[in-house]
Amino acid sequence: MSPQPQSVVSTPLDSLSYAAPSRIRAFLCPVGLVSRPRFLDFVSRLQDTAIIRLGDVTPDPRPERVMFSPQGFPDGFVVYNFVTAIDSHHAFLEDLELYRRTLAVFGLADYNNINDLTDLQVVIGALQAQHPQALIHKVILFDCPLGQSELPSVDFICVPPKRASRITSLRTTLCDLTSALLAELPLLAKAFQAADTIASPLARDDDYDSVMLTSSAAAHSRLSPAGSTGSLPSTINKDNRISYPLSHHTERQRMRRKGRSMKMIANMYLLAGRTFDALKEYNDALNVLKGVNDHLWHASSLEGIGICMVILAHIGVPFVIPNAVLPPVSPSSEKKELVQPQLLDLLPQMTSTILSLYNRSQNFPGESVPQITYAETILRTTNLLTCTTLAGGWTSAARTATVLSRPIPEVSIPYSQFHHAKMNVMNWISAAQAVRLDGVDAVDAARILTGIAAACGKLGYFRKRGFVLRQLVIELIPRIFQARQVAQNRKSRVPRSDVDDDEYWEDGRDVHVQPQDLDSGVLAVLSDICTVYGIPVDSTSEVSTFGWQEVKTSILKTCIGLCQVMPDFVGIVRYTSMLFRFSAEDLSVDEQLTLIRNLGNAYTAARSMGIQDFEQEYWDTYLVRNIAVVESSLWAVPTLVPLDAASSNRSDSSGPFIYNPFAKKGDEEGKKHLFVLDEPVEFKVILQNPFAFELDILTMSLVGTGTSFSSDVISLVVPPRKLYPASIYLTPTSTGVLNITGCRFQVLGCKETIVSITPTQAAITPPIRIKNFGLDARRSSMVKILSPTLVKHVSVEVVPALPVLRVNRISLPHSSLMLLEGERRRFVIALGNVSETVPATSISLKFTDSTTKSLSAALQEDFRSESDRYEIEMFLHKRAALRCVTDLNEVKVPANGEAEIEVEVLGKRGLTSACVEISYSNVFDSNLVLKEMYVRTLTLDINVTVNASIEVAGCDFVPFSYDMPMIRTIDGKATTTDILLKFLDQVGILFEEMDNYCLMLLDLRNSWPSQLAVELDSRTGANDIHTVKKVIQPGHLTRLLVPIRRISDIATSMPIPSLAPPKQFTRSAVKSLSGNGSRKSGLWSPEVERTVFWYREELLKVLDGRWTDDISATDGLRRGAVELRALRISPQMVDIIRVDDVVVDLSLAPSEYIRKSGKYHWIVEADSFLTLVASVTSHSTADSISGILRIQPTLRNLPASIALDINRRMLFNGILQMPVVDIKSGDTRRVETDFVVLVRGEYEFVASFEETTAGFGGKRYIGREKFVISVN
Amino acid sequence: MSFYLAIVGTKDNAVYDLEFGTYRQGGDGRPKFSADMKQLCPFIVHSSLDIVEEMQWNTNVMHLKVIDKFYNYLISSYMTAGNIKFLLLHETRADDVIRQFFVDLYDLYVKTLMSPFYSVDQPITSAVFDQRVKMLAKKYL
Repeated sequence: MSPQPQSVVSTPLDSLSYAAPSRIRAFLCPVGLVSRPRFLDFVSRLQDTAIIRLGDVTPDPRPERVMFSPQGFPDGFVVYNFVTAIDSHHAFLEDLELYRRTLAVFGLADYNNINDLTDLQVVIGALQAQHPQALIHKVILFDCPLGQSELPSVDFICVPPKRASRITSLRTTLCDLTSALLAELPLLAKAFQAADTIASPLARDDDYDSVMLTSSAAAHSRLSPAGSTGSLPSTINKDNRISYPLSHHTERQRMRRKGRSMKMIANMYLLAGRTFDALKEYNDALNVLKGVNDHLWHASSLEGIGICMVILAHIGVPFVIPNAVLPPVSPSSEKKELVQPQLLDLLPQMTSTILSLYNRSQNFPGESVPQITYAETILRTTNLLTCTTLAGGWTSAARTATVLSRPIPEVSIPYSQFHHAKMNVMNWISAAQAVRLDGVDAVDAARILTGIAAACGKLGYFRKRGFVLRQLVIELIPRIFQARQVAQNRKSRVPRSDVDDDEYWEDGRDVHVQPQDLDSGVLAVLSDICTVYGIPVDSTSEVSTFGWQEVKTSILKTCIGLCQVMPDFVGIVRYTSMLFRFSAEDLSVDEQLTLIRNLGNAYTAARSMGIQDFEQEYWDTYLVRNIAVVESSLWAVPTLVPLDAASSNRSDSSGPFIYNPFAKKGDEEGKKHLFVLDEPVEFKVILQNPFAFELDILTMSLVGTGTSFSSDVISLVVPPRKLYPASIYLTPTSTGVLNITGCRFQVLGCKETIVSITPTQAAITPPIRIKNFGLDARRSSMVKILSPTLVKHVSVEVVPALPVLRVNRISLPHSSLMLLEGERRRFVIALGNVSETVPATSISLKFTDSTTKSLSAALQEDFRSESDRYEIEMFLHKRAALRCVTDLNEVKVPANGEAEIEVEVLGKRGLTSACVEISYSNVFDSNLVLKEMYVRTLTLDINVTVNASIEVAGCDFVPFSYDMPMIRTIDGKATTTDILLKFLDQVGILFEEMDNYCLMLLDLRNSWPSQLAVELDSRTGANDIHTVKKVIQPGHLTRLLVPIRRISDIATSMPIPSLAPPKQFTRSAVKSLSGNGSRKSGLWSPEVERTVFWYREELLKVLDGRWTDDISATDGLRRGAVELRALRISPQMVDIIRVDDVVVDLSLAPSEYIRKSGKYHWIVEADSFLTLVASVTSHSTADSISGILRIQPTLRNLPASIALDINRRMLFNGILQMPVVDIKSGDTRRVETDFVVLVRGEYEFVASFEETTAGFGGKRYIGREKFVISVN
Repeated sequence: MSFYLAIVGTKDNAVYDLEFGTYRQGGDGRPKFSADMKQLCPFIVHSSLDIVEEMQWNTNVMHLKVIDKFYNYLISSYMTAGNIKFLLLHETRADDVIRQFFVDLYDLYVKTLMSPFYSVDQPITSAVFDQRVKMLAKKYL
């Protein structure tokens, strides 16, 4: 049941307040069973009533105890400094500065938890034994319903429960306690007065209390040698202390002893609230001490006078400033009341005097000032000045703040005054900073530095405060380390140590933050430092451009250093990750390795201690540089195909526009990946590790938005300074759009973090415009590490489940076949469905072959004429090498099933390989009209060899003419006419209609090393097909005679069409050719080219050729088509084939004098009247034709000069040239001319029709056959 | 004697910093800071920014003279029109010389600022600037 000293939260008065030496230190400790929050509640209740007016205190009636009777100064007050820890380090100072002594010990007990009050009696004894210096030892029973009389002893004080008690009841209790305390004080005073000697703190006296020799005093044995610090105070070695033996009392020493005891009494008056008496005693002591050059005590008395004056000023009681403290040359040295602003001027002056006295005391070994006293004196003055600065002068608020540590309300102060006052305080702060901390123990160093920091903070000098706190941290690191080692050594020897680490922090707590517990307190201080230097503590997504990089790095290292000696594992983890986040580039390889090792150790240690949620986010925001889909070889990637016409046109890559600036570029960004439901997809994640250590990633999984999916979770190690590709699988579990935004990571020692994809690491550019500067710029200089433009995501679309097909077999050996040109051959593809559940219900085929490329390339060439282009396009688009035979609508491949497809191949010149793309999908409802569909594609390559078969070597056309020369054959049996007639008979053409036909001479070569039978069809009428058959031996060239019906009614004016999809512009190749003279030569004019083109097309329509090979073929009959498009015709041939637009026919009107000997051959009698009928027939496509008919008679078989001399041989009624107008298309106009032949002989008539419709230079049509008259 | 010069931007960021020693009294221009002091220099200079901020509203001159001290070291400051702070840590008081040094340094700084490739608060990495500052230091300090 012994009370344990405990470090607790409290709101104590500012221990560095100017008036702090006027407070009575009272130690509070829990007694019996008191829970921590209850105890803290009691403490805070007591602290609320820490100020007791002497007027409220009942004086002790005993006459020997009236020395400090409250009645002496009813306006005065006693202030309690309630502490919850014993400050045994400063016990040696208690004589000089009595306020450091614990004068009262109060045990706090919770009545509800006490079973037997008599047990507490033992506690009182224990308290007395533990704290012999204390004057009173009491136990306060909180929430005690009993009356005072019911308690067993006067040492128990009863406090009723909060609700039941009046507000003043606790105060009354304290008043009673104060009364008891004041009654005890005279005993102490007497003890001092009776003492033979009163030692200085650093002197060693024989009868000095043993508290001095506690462990804390050992720390003072390593004080720096005196005088080595120049103007700075220092202490002397403990071994050099001088004691004052009784037998050597001189007068001087007697006076010194007297002065010191007077000062002690003054101290007690001050504590007892009898300020007036204190002032007087101090003054007396001062005068005595001044005389004997006891500088230390003299200075201390002077300080006491200052405090007394401040307290009296606060109470508002007029007082006289003692002469001794007034400046010697001041004219106002008369004993008069100083007005208070002058007091404010006086106090710093006094402090200066005190400090110079302290400095002087250094010269006296054993009498020198302890550093803590020296520093605290400065800090107290600083505090006083800070209060007056903030309150805007020596106002009542400033006085209350100084004496009672009350907060100062905000006041507006003129800037220059404020600034001046601040600068003044700054001087004192500098003086405090100048105190060397070399010989001071950790607690004192912390106390001094935190005091400075607090003053800086109050003045708004946050950077200074940060600097001081940093110094504090740096000071503490080696000391804590040492203390830890000492403690550890001691722990190994002694079971329980009273030196705990916590003790080092007890005194530091009252300046900056009140730690709820140790760790958060340290972290809060460090966070505070970090914030000042521009390290954002709580934000991980932003980086501050504020601050000094070098300083930031150093601060973070310092923070880590402190956390390591503590050791505070949470802090290590936190600050190491911050260091990596902000300053990784400033760290050397060794540093990085050490840091990461320590981080790992701290992380493990913290976890083993059961600390939760302390991990930080991983420091590198750019961990994921890229995420890409890996194309699977197992699962074919589906594609989207449009099914309706509109969208199919649009999706055509060759669309109406040659160049569409809005078309999406086919790069990776625009490419949308398609995933299939329930099929795993591989992703390649590029991870970066710019650090010098291996990055241990415990878990990594993909993160995305959109539809649901399940990602693999993998763990990996990224090697140092590498971009490392990691492979991870993902399985989509529902359809829709899925955006992969990044990865979720757990790096060893870090929190689980989601990292976005950032392909490029942008430089962090601070905002250019300067809006504010200094510490105000902290907020505005936060820059987001990740700007949204940098973040990428991978968008994929998950489509419904699709089957997976495979080619089970193909009916071609080694997927290859040999064909002759023009031959067609079929083969069968057997498709198997690998999928267990999904049938392939929709299959479509697409073919590509090796000719496509060369033909497309040929099309691109500039010099091709339009008809050539048409020819190429024909082969490209119309003559497909492959064709599907099976009706694909009927083909379905069930799950795990098989289906067959038949494909036909055409032997096409240039075909070496072909590719069958089988697109398949699964359409559940066949009635559903889909706009687009997701398909998978299976590709099958086939090797094809095409050998030449029948080739067209050349062709010519011969007209059937009636005036063929009558040449007999060599044997004389037949004439050409006979042969012609026989041929015409064979092909079934009437001799009379012979001129409607012409003869095609077709040269065919057999390039195949086996004989081929050729059949050539020529359609001569609607139902008449004439077939020519011939067997061609290998390598032979054979001429076939094919009758062709002459062609009429062809609109040759139509442009040559293009089979390619329509384009935005079609550049006229013709124009470019005509513009270029050198190219034009050797080619025909556009009109001629068109004419030839259209007649050739017409010709090819009526021709059809086949060949068969029944000998060499091992696998049955080979048959194929003769490629007649190889035919080339010239304009001359066209003239033979075509029927003219206007046909002029001559005949004679029936008469008795004429006899017809041939179709165009008449025999007439001379001098007979004859009528020449010229019939003009229009076959033109134009509506009507007008022109001039000319008839030209000549003598037959004579040279032109004689032949035209016909005037005297023949008489015409009328003229031989006459206009014929408006002949409708298809009409025949007869023009009759009467004539008489005067001279016998043979005459030829040639009729011509010259078109005038189109103006001059119209087309001229001449009768094909010569009209001959033989005149007998 | 050793010096530490820092040009501090509007956001407490070091735009430029340099340690150098005097050439007077037989010095070789090298700084002779102890290892601890070397580390502490930026912190001292940084902490005196509080005072600079305080002083800047209280005077209409750019040279703020000695504004702060730390043990035996003094800190002189010069505030440019664009709120860029020149801070010099030095050991002895020499206001006039330091003022001249600062004025010439301001000249250099303004020339740097006029570069289209430099914007306010960026660290100055120009080797020429560095060289010129060292020459100034040699000339005055």
